[in-house]
Amino acid sequence: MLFKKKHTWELPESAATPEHVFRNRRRFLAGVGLSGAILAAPAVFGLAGHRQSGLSPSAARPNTTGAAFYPAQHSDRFVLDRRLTEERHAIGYNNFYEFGSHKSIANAAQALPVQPWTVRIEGLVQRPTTLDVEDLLRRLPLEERLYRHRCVEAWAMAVPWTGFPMKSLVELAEPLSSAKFVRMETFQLPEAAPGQLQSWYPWPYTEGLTLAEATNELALLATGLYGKPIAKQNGAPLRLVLPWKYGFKSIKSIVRFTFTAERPTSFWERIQPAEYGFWANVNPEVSHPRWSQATERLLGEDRRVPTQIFNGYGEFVAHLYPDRRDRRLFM
Amino acid sequence: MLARRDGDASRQFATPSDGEAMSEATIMSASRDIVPVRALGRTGAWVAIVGLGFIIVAIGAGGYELASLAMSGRYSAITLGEIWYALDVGSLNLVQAVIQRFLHPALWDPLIVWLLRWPVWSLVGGTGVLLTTVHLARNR
Repeated sequence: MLFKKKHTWELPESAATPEHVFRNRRRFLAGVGLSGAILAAPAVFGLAGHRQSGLSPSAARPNTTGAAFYPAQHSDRFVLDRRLTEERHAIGYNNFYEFGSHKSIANAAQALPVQPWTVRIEGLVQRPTTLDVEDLLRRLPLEERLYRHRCVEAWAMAVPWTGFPMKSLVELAEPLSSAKFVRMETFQLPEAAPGQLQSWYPWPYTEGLTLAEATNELALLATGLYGKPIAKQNGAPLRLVLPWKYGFKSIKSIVRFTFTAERPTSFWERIQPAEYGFWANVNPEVSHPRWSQATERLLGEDRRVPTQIFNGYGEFVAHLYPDRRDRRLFM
Repeated sequence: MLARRDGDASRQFATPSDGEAMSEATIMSASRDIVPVRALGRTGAWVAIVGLGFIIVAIGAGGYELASLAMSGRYSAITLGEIWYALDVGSLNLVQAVIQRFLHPALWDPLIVWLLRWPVWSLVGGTGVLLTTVHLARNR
């Protein structure tokens, strides 16, 4: 007699899951998975706005450093050949790589805590020191200047900066005779500036000048814009303004000045030396490798105007660069 | 009559509309010789080769990280962004600018930055395992 012994895995036909139920279950699981992924995405990608969770709530306040010092005495020495750019354009169209490579970084920049803010002066100086920006505002002569600003990306604006001559900071620092350059450095705070999470870039942002450039009367350390403390997206609480050079030389939110005997390598020079050099003086005849520098687009206006050598400030700075045939001075 | 002319794929097979019915056996045997089927087979091999290549790169990157850890006592991952930066910083910079300025800032940061911050061994290794698995599943 034949006895059929069932295997444990054998099921009667009636116990098999009908095909439509099986397919529905797969659809259900796929749906659950997809929903989970969608719900988890903000947390995974940091879209939930917790990027600044490590910062104090006061970080998001607007910059009010030294508000009592504004408006400052206006200087008539620097005149414009064009209309002032409307404030909304100057504070709404910004390059600040620490917050992204696009122009609408104004909101993101509000995460930067700027009060208190100290500046370190060190290197080849008589007495290395750390100063609070409010102290600097009390000690150094503030004035308002109207400057043209030319970005290497061929756009331009004209704005009223408030600040003090960089020369007065150099005098305060008392550099040794061996100091030939000054290196400047921006903050390093990736929890506030998400661009710095891209660890492959050589953060913090650095820039450099010769001492002759730093003590030129045009070189301004700005703390204000449009008659009030400078907005965070424009480089609060302390930034450099060099109107005869492309904008990337005007380093923002400075925390350190180091006087050195050797020429420093700047942030962009380290990344792409063929496109962004150390000197970066404005010259319409020396094109960027990927675009012409002959003209510039005025922010807030639908027109382009011819670019001028040294951005029109040759009478102040041309003597610093006797060999104008050296193209390296203009890139 | 079934006409077959090697080297001319568009004319290899007559269709039933030509007045001749194709038997199932004829279709089955002919389909084995259809060019796309052979091409699919070759693609499958490439998938496996690329997958294995990725796995080797991942093992190399992981090994480098372990060696660094052993020497310095500090773990430091080699990220995809660092590799891209080292290979061609110009294209990295350009792609970031194009995406953030002309598509959407959030597409780069946080999405692509999130990917670029992954250790190479995990991302490349994961892709390699996926490709190899796909190849094995297809040929099972």
